[in-house]
Amino acid sequence: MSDVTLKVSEQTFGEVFNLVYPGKSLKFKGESPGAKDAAIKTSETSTETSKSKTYLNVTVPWFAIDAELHLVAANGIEFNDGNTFTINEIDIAWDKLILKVGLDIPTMKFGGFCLFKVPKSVPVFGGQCALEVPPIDLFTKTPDIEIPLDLSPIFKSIITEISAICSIEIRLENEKGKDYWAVHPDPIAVDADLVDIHDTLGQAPAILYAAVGTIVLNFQAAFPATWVMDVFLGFVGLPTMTSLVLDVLDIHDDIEEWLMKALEQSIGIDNLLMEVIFDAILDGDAVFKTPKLFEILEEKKVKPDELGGFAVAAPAGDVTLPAVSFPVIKPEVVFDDDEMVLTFDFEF
Amino acid sequence: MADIYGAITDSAINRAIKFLMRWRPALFNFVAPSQYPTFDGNGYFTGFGERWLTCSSVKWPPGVDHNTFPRYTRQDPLKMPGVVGGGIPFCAQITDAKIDFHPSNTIDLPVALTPPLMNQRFAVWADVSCGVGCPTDALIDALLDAHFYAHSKFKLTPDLFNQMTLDVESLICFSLELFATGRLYTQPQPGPSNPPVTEIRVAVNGVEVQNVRPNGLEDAVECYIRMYIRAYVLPKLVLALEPIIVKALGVTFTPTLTSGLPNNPAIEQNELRVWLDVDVTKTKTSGS
Repeated sequence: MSDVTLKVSEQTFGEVFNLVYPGKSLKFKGESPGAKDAAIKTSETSTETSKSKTYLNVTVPWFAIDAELHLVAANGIEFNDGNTFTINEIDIAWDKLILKVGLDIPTMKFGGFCLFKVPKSVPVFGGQCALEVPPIDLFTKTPDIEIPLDLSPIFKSIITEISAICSIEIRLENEKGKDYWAVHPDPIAVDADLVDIHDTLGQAPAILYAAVGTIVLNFQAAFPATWVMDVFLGFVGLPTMTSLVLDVLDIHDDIEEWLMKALEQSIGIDNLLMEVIFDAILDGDAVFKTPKLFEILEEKKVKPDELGGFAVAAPAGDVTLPAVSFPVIKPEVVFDDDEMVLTFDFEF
Repeated sequence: MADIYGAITDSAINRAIKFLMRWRPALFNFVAPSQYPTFDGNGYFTGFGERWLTCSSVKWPPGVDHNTFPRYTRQDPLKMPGVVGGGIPFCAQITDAKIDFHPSNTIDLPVALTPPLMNQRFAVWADVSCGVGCPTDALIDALLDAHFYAHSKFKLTPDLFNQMTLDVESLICFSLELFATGRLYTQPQPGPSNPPVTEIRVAVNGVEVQNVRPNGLEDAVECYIRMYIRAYVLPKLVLALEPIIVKALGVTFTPTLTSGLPNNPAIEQNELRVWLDVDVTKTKTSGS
């Protein structure tokens, strides 16, 4: 039999969990994998015709997110068999979610050719170039186009539900020079689900078009010679810059579907959520702590005339009686029915 | 179901008692020291010195400074009519003690306490060494002379002597075994607290002293000890269920005893057990 037994009910454990964990801001970032390597096929050689076709060399769209959220509450804690417990439906609230969409288009050399040559029949100037397109490098940045979509207004109203299965771990921790036995949830599995997000993305098209329009305007501002852009757009066969961006990003009529595909498949937001929640639980505060040295009598100053038994005459000033502490050893936690059972011994 | 359940074994408490005896001996050794006059080199009176006499030697815990670590708690000397030299020095030392929760398995109760130990009761046993100073005839003569001289020549009152303790160099020692049985009960803490704070208190049902002869003396000692326990010890053994602030978690637990249980707190299966319902709140910090 252990010296001390403490049992905590599921309900109380949940109340403590909901006081210790929620409210903390969790920040995370992520980007789509392989953005720099994966590329749309750039050329094709037909053996039948021995002809080579060249396509636009464009990498697949690059996605990144910059997010911040906080835990609201766990809707229930359930102690399981096998010394684990399930945190049901941890509600999280989004404080920030910025989705960045980008394209890294290979650098293209453009211009350096004569757009209008003076007919040879013209005396003196005949055969000379009257209007030369200057040579310029296009798409030199990485990514060349980056569109930040601030989805915070949409996501602020979304409560995302996450569930986690945790075991219990007792760690020896030091806080302000004092050792504690700390009871921590140790996550085994985390399940994140962006529930019903499709129904709440009504503002997404407006945000997307506004962002793309802004980017295109900025892009055109960088190239004042609009006739050059017209030539370029004609070269790639697209009517407008906005259409080009939307098309290259594979954005068509169903914005919501495209957005969800970007978040879930390209970014893998579910996995990122799992990781950040996993780390938050793992690195979070303990749900229960007990000092490694259980202080039963605190340090005390007393007047020496109240005490005796000194080796010599009583000292002149106050006497300090040191604290008396019991070392706490062999702490263990198990789940028994609907209770968490913490046991430990004193070492005397 | 209670929110929190806590239990501690009698074995742990008994080891804790021994641990405390070693590290805070002053909690278990009570001494009224004898006093002796001191003189300077010219034979002039300079004051009083003290002899801390005990019946059982007390060691210092390891590693402490013997010059600054106390082993005894000072007591006032015994006052009795006819003692001309002031009070009588004495010592009372608890040299061993243990507690036994129901069912009893470490303390053999004396017949006077009607063993076996009843349900929901605890038993306490203590081995106590006591000693009382007794002045020699020569000291009594000297004190009487001094008393007479001071009163007749200098009109000094006896108060001067009443403030002293007899100068003895040894104690007449005896030992006794103390047995007691008791239980726990609860009551609201006096005062206007809202919500009312419940206190867990200790009640003593029986006290028995053994190995003191004659029986009349034993009865007298028992009577005194019973009074001492009820008037001095038990009022200190109160656990008030007040809010507990756990700084490390930043939360405050406000406990109340879980109702609807046959015994809460309970003394059973060699454990002291308590079931609590708690209200868990975020601790308010200053300024918030």
